[in-house]
Amino acid sequence: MNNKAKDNLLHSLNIKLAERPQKIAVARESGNKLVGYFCPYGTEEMILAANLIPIRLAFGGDSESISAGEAFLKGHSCPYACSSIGNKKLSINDYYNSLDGVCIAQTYDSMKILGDYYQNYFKLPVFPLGLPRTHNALRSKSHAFDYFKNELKLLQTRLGGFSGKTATDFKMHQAINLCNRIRDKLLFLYKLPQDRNTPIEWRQILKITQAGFLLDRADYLKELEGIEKALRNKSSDKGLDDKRSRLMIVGSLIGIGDEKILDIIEQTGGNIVADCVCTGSMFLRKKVPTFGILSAPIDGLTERYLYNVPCPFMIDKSRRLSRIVKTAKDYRVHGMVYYNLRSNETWRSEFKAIKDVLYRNLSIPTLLIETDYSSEDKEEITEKVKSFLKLVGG
Amino acid sequence: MNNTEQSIQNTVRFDTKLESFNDIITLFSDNLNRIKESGKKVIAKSPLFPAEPIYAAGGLAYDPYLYEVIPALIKGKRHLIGKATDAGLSSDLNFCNLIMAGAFISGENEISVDAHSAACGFWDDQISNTWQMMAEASQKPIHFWEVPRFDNNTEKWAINFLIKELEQYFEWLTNQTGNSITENSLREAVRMGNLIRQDIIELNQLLQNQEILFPALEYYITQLMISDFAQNPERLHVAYQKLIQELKERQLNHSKPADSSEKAIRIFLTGEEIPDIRIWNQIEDYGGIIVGFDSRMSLYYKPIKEDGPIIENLACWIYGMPSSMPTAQRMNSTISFIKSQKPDAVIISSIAGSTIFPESNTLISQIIQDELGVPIFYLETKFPFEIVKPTYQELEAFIQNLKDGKNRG
Repeated sequence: MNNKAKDNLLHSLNIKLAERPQKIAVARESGNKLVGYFCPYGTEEMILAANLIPIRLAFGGDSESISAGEAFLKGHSCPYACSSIGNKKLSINDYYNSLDGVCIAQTYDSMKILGDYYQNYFKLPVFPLGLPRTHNALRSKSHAFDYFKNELKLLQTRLGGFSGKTATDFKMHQAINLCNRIRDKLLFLYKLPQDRNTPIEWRQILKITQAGFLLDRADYLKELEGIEKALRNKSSDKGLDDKRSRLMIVGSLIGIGDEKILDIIEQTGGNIVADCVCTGSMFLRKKVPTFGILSAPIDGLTERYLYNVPCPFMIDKSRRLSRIVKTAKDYRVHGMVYYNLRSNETWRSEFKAIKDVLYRNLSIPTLLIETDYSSEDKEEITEKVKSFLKLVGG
Repeated sequence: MNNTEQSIQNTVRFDTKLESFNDIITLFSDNLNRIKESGKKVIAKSPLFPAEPIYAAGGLAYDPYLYEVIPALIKGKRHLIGKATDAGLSSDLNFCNLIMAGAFISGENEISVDAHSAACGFWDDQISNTWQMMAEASQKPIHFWEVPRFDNNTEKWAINFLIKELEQYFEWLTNQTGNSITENSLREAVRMGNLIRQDIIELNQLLQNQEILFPALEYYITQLMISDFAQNPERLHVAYQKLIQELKERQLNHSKPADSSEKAIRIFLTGEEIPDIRIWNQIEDYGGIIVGFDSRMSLYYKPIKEDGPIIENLACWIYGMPSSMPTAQRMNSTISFIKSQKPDAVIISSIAGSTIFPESNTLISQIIQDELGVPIFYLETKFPFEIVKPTYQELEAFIQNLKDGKNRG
């Protein structure tokens, strides 16, 4: 797909994105409240069902916000966590400026501390969500399900109290249905690059996904339906002649605006076709199960969020590794780029295990890129990627 | 041996007149013999969770974060960090975790363990990464149990979750040691643990006095050993009792070990352990006296209730451990302890590479300021230790300024 075609495809989405801050401002003036969440465990169905506006605060790539966040966290903290505080402090991001509350799933350390700062310094209501981390695919810990279900119920009550509108089962069913349909559409898009003839590239799909963090969910679904319609029966302009190396990107969150590594890979001739990142396709695999209108929606939500592909914060490493190997195989990748944001120790400590398992099973080599949001290391990373692409070929 | 190691060994000073501390340091240093003689299974445990279940299962608890790290630092085993990072751990991790993991990965661990058990919860994610790697490398079984997030509204299901976690942990321990944990064996382990807790509470109360009779380094080591009860709870309790008795005698005789004059600066340390053990002597040399340190306070913040259903009591106690709480809640629960020690100043201590404490410093210092209004000093221990020298000079100046103020006042 050439640049003009790319622009046309996302034209309507981009307009909606540009209009979104204004629409949020109007909605807030009418009494609606905006609740932000940071990680994909933040259960947006709950926020929607309580008549609140969900926004995933997955912004990255901005050094200034990191510096501002370092005044709270330490100098060598995860850049995303720093910028998640810095963005609020600097008041330069419309979405952060419009926050009425935040929902924080208790995942990695910095995320837990974020809640402390939002509550104590920014005086925003914080809705914490406890998340067991020792559960496993064998489901040997049934109490993890019970605990998480209770946490979700409490969140439901708290969010309902915050908006003044109870998140009834009926509204939860509606929200689940909407979010599941969005997941279906996104999954359809992410599967396209499995084919060399894909009419859309992974990077564009990531952009579409990220737009969904901010847009009204119903509007977003319509946009996705439009995009899907436009893409059906189309094929790549490069087609089978595309000689670029097929890459999978795994690792830290790639935030909205965090373009450095993606630009470098594109400019050096690499082609990302698959991912295992939490702002990409990592969690799309599992939808919220629904067993008819009479079923308890909270059970479905518990099932989906607890037993999805575990993020590295979860102890069940083997399941995560299996998922990565399967994705690499399904997308016939030539190499993996492991993107690690500085001081993101949890991801970093898994790198070797992932590298080893991928090489052992599929003979796929891996390149580790450790960086932050500054541009200082751009040349160095470019050289590394160039050498890696030479190695993996296409 | 390089300069740093030589200087650690040469410059660390113990209070030789405090005879009862010999028993404590012997317990610290001869654990290899003690473990061999016992013939019991050794279960490694992460620092901040109770050792009672392991003893109730007839095993020996072993805290490698204490017994692997301090000797490795004194012996200068810097290469252990490389072993850990070669195995895949991030070099950004707290260097003590890297040293501990490196010891097991390279097979240079001081004590051979039969199994690993670690608790995860609100504190450092690094525990799960490090312990998983240690167990994989030494090809020993590992069990994680979890303290979930909770607040006042979630108490009921959080405690239910904890009880189930403990039950599974007990089952696992039974498989490792071959001994079942019974109501009686757990109750007996809790009773013994409470005696040790009570000892530490009493030792801390002694530090509330105007005259400080317990030197800083000795206090630090004594407190750390509560983590695994030194593989022999009965003997540790006896040693603690002897120490308390001697300190009380010192009180009667007005025998002071350090500059505990009225002009000395009463310092409370909050946060993480300080792996460079020289600092404790240095604080005293600069004119400070240590009146409390809370790195292991979660293990003795109060005794475990002995009457009634013992697993529930243990779960409720774990639920109340300050280390299980978010920062603001944790500080609110520990601030009364800090106040009771009547400090003139507070040092917030963290280890380079850690997350929870360094990232919470801003909030911690605000709460201390609001509640105590005393000067605060941030001490981050880095490795190799030479690079923290400027921080120690700043610490000296900090204490000196406070002393000057006290002298003028």
